[in-house]
Amino acid sequence: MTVFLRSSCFALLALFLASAASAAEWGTITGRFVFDGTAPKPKQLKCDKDPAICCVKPHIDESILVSKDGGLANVIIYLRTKVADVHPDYAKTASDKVAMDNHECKFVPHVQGVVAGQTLVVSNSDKTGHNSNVQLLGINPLISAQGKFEQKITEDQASGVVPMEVTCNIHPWMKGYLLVRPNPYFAISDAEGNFTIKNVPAGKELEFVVWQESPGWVTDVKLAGKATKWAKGRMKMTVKPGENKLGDILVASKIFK
Amino acid sequence: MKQRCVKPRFWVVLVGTLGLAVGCGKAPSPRFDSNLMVMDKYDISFEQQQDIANALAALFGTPDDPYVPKESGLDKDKIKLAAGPTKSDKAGVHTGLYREHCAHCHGISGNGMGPTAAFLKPYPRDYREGWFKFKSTERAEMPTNADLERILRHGIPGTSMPAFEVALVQPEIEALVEYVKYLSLRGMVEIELARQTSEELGEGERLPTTAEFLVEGVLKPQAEKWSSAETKLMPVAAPPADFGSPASIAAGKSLFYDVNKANCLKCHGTTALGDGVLNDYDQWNKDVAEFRTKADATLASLTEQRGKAEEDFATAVEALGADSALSEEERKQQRETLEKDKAATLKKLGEKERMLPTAMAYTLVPRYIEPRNLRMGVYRGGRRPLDVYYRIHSGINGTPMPAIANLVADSELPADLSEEEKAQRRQSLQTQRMWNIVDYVLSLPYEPGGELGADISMLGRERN
Ligand code: HEC
Ligand code: HEC
Repeated sequence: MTVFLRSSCFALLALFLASAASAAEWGTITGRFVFDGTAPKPKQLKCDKDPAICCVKPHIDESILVSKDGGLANVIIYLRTKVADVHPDYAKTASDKVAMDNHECKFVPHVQGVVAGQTLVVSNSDKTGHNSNVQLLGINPLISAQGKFEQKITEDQASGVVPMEVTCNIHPWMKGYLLVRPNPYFAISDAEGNFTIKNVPAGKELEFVVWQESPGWVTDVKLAGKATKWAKGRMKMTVKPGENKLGDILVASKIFK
Repeated sequence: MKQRCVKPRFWVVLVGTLGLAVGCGKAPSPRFDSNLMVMDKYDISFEQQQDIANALAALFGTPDDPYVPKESGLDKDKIKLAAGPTKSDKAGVHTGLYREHCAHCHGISGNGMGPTAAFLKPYPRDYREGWFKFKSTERAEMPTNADLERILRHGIPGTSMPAFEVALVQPEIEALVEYVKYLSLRGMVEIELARQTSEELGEGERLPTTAEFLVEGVLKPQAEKWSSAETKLMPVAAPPADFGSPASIAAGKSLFYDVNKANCLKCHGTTALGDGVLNDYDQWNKDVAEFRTKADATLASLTEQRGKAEEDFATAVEALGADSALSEEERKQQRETLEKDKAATLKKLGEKERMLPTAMAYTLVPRYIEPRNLRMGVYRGGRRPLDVYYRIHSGINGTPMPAIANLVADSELPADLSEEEKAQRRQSLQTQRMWNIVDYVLSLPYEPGGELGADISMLGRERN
């Protein structure tokens, strides 16, 4: 066995060592994810636990949320390439608390992103107890009404490939996602589909991953009007110093469930 | 060395069950099976799967010839005693303990898929994720040696997991504990290799095979999780002085049924018979259920997806031809890219077609987990008050059973205390309340009917 280890002649370690040089210049990426086609009408979810508290307003399936003019919400875009350091501005948020609330028996926000070093705060603003089960973080706190649970996120927890599912086993319709990353280079598109990633190292080819809960990896898009395939949701780009506008990114309707 | 031939008493031969050598005659040497569900999750190609298998063989060897790198932190001699085919030498040293006592339930690879597994409820544990239930460490952490030893000695009451206290002597139990850790670590390393292949490697790049990468980069961080278990113990404060008193039980009872407090009734039911939520999965079964649904859908749509790939290609080629802005050279290049994309899609579909049916055959029909019927007085993780405290403090890893996060409202703390004093007061009140709940839980089997209108005739009803 050791022979096997020793005899290996190609050391492809380079990739695992973060690139050493620190970027002198930074660029900001903006864009908008758009559902290409007619968006399906969100289904209403079955609500049958704690009806007086939870089922006052109907719950809808949030897996595909499209705004009036087609903007696709909750698309995650994160930097896959390892970077040596991040822009000094990010130091301000490096030990922030990042919230996810159990609100009206829904996770708010539906998708949240947290960076290693930050503290995840799961709170409960309802008048009933919830549990928030994230197996991949090894947590499942039972949170009393008006209570909260806090945990600092470690580097080790921040290595997931895809966002982690958050569920409440008491209220089975509840579902949310947590993106846990080693660096702050990610964005989650807002209700209009817009996203911004600030101060990305410029000048070097980087690879981003694009993910949405319904299809998983976003593989088929139209970028600047051109049909483009992103294997495993991967998009390569070299960021220019300053503004980098991607414009509308049309996500093919066929990839959605 | 004469081999003792073990006649298995209760092999149940399942069609397609993983080549389990029985130790007699010329049975083929058993192999470790690949974790195909994880390979599918991370979209690992056949070539990459082979690289992962090679890396695992280099680090862990085979079931008959295990390799125990010293960085694993595992004891090689103990592993040798537990591994391999079951036999005794002249001196009476008995080896192959895992295959003799455990493999028919937990499987050669520790995937919980031994030949008997399909008939058991709950299913035997799959060790490969490193999720263990009944332990003294925090929820996300690995169990200690003492935790695993306890499980092996006493079994898991209320499940088919046997107690080996009588059948095995101390060194044998220790050897098996070590072997469970070996299989679990191997499974965790396999998952980590798949994750890194997906997350870290560039396009077309192969998994590095250097010792530096495999041992330092992959094995050690996983092994560290096991070797640090002893330092990840749950904090336990002694029970309050009134533990066991009617007042303590009553306090526990009101917390248990209060939806704004402990809220235990939501899952364990308004009568604690375990019938609050009956259609929920634990993580193992949930992963299988989701995998099966996705795999079924993929297999059913293969033809359609192939057609789509051809169609997309044809449309794109047509668009290329019509694009007068392109030079001949650009057109050629773009066509090549399109061809490459199409070939990659078709190759991937071909691999899914071959892999998914096998991967599905390596899963058991997913089953719901039932919250415990707390009136039965059967505690899987042990019946000592401390055991029940552990279960309530950290919940049960891998299952819906949650860990109590907070039982004390801000309004209960005097406003004039400093932040530090508040935190202390909160902690001590919370601990006391958890012990109250333990008190109530342990009293439940003796509680007649229960205030909440339990039908007494149902109390003996077998559930879960
Ligand atoms: C008859 C089937 C059967 C046999 C034989 C068996 N087990 Fe188990 N084992 C189980 C089942 C079922 C569970 C899961 C119980 C649960 O999830 O509550 C389990 C769980 C476990 C666990 C997990 C405990 C935890 O805290 O999560 C360990 C470790 C374990 N078994 C080790 C062994 C070892 C070692 C042997 C052989 C000496 C063995 N088992 C033999 C059925 C079996
Ligand atoms: C979200 C659902 C849920 C909630 C809320 C919940 N439980 Fe559980 N509980 C479970 C499930 C599911 C199991 C069975 C786990 C298993 O079999 O591995 C369980 C098992 C248990 C056990 C059995 C331990 C053993 O060793 O066998 C005890 C005791 C228990 N729960 C107590 C409580 C108490 C006390 C509360 C309230 C503080 C509570 N549970 C809240 C789902 C829940």
